Amino acid sequence: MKPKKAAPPRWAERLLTFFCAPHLLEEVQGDLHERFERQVLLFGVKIARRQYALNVLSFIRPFTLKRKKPEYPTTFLYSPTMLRNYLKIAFRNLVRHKMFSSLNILGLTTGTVCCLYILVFVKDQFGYDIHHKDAENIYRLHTHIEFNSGDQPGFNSGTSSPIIAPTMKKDFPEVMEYTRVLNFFTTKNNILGVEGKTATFTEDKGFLVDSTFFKVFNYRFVEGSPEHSLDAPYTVVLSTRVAKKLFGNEKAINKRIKVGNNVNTTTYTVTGVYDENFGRSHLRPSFLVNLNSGGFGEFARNNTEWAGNNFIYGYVKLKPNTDPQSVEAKIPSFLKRYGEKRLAELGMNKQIFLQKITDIHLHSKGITNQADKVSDISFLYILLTIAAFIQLIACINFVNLTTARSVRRAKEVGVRKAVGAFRSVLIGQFLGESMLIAFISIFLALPIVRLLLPFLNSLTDSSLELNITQNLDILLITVLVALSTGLLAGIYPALYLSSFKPVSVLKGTFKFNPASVVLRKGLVVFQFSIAIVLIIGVLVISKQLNYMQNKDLGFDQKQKIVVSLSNENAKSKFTALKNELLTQNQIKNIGGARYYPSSQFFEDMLVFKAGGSMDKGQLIKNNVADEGFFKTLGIKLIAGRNFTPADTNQQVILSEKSVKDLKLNVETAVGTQVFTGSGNDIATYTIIGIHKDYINNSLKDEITPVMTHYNSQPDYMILEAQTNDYTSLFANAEKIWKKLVPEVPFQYSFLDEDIQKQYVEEKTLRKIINSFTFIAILISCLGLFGLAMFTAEQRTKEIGVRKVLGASVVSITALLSKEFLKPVLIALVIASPLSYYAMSKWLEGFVYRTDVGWENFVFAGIAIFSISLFTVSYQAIKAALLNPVTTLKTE
Amino acid sequence: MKRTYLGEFEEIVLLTVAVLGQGAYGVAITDELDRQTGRAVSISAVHAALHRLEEKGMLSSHMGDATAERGGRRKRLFSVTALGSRTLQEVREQRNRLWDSIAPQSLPAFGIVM
Repeated sequence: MKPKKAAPPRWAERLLTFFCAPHLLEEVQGDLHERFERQVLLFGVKIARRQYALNVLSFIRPFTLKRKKPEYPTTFLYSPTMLRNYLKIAFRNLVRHKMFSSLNILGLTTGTVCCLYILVFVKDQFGYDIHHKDAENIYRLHTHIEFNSGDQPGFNSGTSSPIIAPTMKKDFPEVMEYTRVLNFFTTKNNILGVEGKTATFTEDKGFLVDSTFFKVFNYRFVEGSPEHSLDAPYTVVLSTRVAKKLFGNEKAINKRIKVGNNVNTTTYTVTGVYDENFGRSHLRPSFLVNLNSGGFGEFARNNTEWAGNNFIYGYVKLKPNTDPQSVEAKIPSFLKRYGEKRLAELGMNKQIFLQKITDIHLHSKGITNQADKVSDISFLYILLTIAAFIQLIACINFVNLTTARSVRRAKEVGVRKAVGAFRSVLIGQFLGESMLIAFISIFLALPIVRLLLPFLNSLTDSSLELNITQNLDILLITVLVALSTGLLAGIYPALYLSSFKPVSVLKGTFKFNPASVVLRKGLVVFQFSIAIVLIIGVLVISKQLNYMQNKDLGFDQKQKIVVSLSNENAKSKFTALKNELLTQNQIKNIGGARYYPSSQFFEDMLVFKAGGSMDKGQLIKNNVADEGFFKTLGIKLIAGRNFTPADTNQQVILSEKSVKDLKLNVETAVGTQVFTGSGNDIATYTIIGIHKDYINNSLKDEITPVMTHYNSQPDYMILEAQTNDYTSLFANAEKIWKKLVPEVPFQYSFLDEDIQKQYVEEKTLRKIINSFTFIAILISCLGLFGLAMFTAEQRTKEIGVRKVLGASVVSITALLSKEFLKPVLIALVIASPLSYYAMSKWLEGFVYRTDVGWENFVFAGIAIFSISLFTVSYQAIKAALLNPVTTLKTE
Repeated sequence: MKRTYLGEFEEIVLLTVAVLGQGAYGVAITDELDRQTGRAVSISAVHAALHRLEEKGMLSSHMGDATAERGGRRKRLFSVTALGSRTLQEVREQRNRLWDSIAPQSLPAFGIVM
């Protein structure tokens, strides 16, 4: 064998061919090679190669970079005449095959509508809290607590102890500013009114905030200015909505308003009104009150607790370019310095993290106590995935219909190539055609989205607007969607069509590429797999929702009306109200409590039994109720007795779960005592009864242990109705209400509705997937329909011959349908395990859950099978019924 | 006197092409330059100069034979044009004139004085 010849470095060769002008390349490369050969002989391969590379580099000079102008002009294929021709041919093709064009456009338009809306929605969701100045430097403190005893779950909360944020500013030079927000005016219990006027309104989402609030957060003021607006005690800043409600079109600034809650009523001076539509925030306040206004705010301000009392949102603004992790790293020693003793007393391990405020809306999974409804990034990913798949299904339709009908375009390709078109030009032409269709779809989709906006908004529970002209981002999204759709749909057909050989096409020996048929079938399988996964998804979600609706919650939720006792006066009149209302024979029972099922417990305490201490205490939720509560809700007592009016706060009824958590015995626990507190400050409670567990929160969570104290002045009144005529019941009840507490609006809700509200997220998901399933099936069937139509058209002669030879209509229909039902069947086989896996994962998010259920697969299979059979058989029967005379007479 | 400007390096390259006669191409010129003047010039510099001279019309070129050591690539062979030759003549005459007008002993002597 000849020894391998020494060769110059490959990369240098490539570089040279890349940069050197073609007309110089031969001589330059030749000279370099000649020199290289000699260098090899003189100095060896290694040095020669290095020399070669250096030489190549030294050739990077203007004269080698400059290209020679071609002597003869090449044909300019994108001349206006040719472009006009492409456009003309494209339109002629569209018009000539009206059916296929409309199938394509219909599919792509539907897909684009979904895609567009979802993209706009997702974009909107990503825009939370970005309007604050230096938003990337603002962090919320989030608390993670674990209990040393181990048998209690720890928790993650968006709130922290009130003293932490201000002390951080004092101790950490990186912290520029802090502010705290106290979610005080929650629920519907706040009554707002203008001083000196009788009209009142209820409002939720009012916050007590530090005077530094507007130094950290940006709000656009309509009246007054953010600076110093909350400096003085007893000042309030209103949102435009609340200001309008209270003052109409009058100026609100410097007026005085009354804000009442279930504790007391206080008068505040309005020092500003902000535009609530400016920016989207995780707080979304309706009004902001200075924390320094007595009452609970004062308690928070003077609070020195380092371990417990995690009830306030603390925010810190760091100096620009500060690494939050460096601050986070200092927090453990900081907590230890101030709170070590207290943390040990309570037996808890506490950690504080910094959460970017821009992350709060989408990245708060697992963090409880949020100020407002938060979304989750995974929900957005689900939406985006669905949108992408729907558009993909529509694109597949285009691919399939175009390649199936490629024979019709084959001659055109042949002629174009014969007269000198390059492949690249043809690819451009066909891609252009798919772009054309994509843009037609976009133009059709835009007004449709605008039209459907109210419906789509109701699906996602949002209030989006579509202003293309005002919002450049949306315009950009629209154009990007069109371009990517056109590219996705068009690239394969363009490559496929432009690959035809003119000789075989023009000679007439052109045959279908069998690989392309297989690919088409594969794409149909893909489309239907997606559709089936979606169908099973909808079925399982519905099954779970049904399960939750019908699950025995341990109490009776039917015909229960919850009335909020919004202020001190209403609470004190509870017994009187109860007695008056019970005279109505429409009302069977009345009970009162602070927390009713579905409302979140905000109070808890560490409880221990005799002989224990705080560090071994169990975290148990607190509720207060009167003697009617358990009876009204039908919660069974399994030991001891119910409350009587003679009881006090000291008498408690425990839930079965809390008895178990405290390691007490149901039979012997009644009459014993439990304790909370340490040192001299120990409170003692006597167990008078034990009730059966009931689902006091959502079915997604484990039942929480509850201890209920007696109180005859509860926050909510629960009525059990024994009539279906709610209008007259409410009219009568309101009359009695107005008589006793005229200053408080009569506010009620139905218990079963309140309970269902906990599953809004799941219901939204069901609604969305429902609609998308419908759309996915629709588009897939459009494609199937088109393919069936094409096949029937192609096989008319075959069918004619078969009929002449005696085939029946049924056998021909079966023959044609079979071909298309096979991919659907394969799709079912592929999609079933996929969706089983996905839905099992979803169900794991619920503590109380149903199974995926084989019946859902059967149902989905039958549904998709019959829908596609219906789609295909229309074409099949039509083809089978054709008179063979008409199809065969041409030959 | 108006004529196309000729740089020193260009002049030497042009002369070398004339020296080499029929076989003047990149590598040969580079080697010849090395031998005659002791200047180790890079091939790319020579190519650039040749390119420039051709643009100025002082050189003409045609593609020659391919050899195996060049990997089958042809050489570009250069020859001096009439313009090139005239320019060289003019440069030489000019130098001669200048030498002639130097007064004797006005240049410091070298080689004799220690």
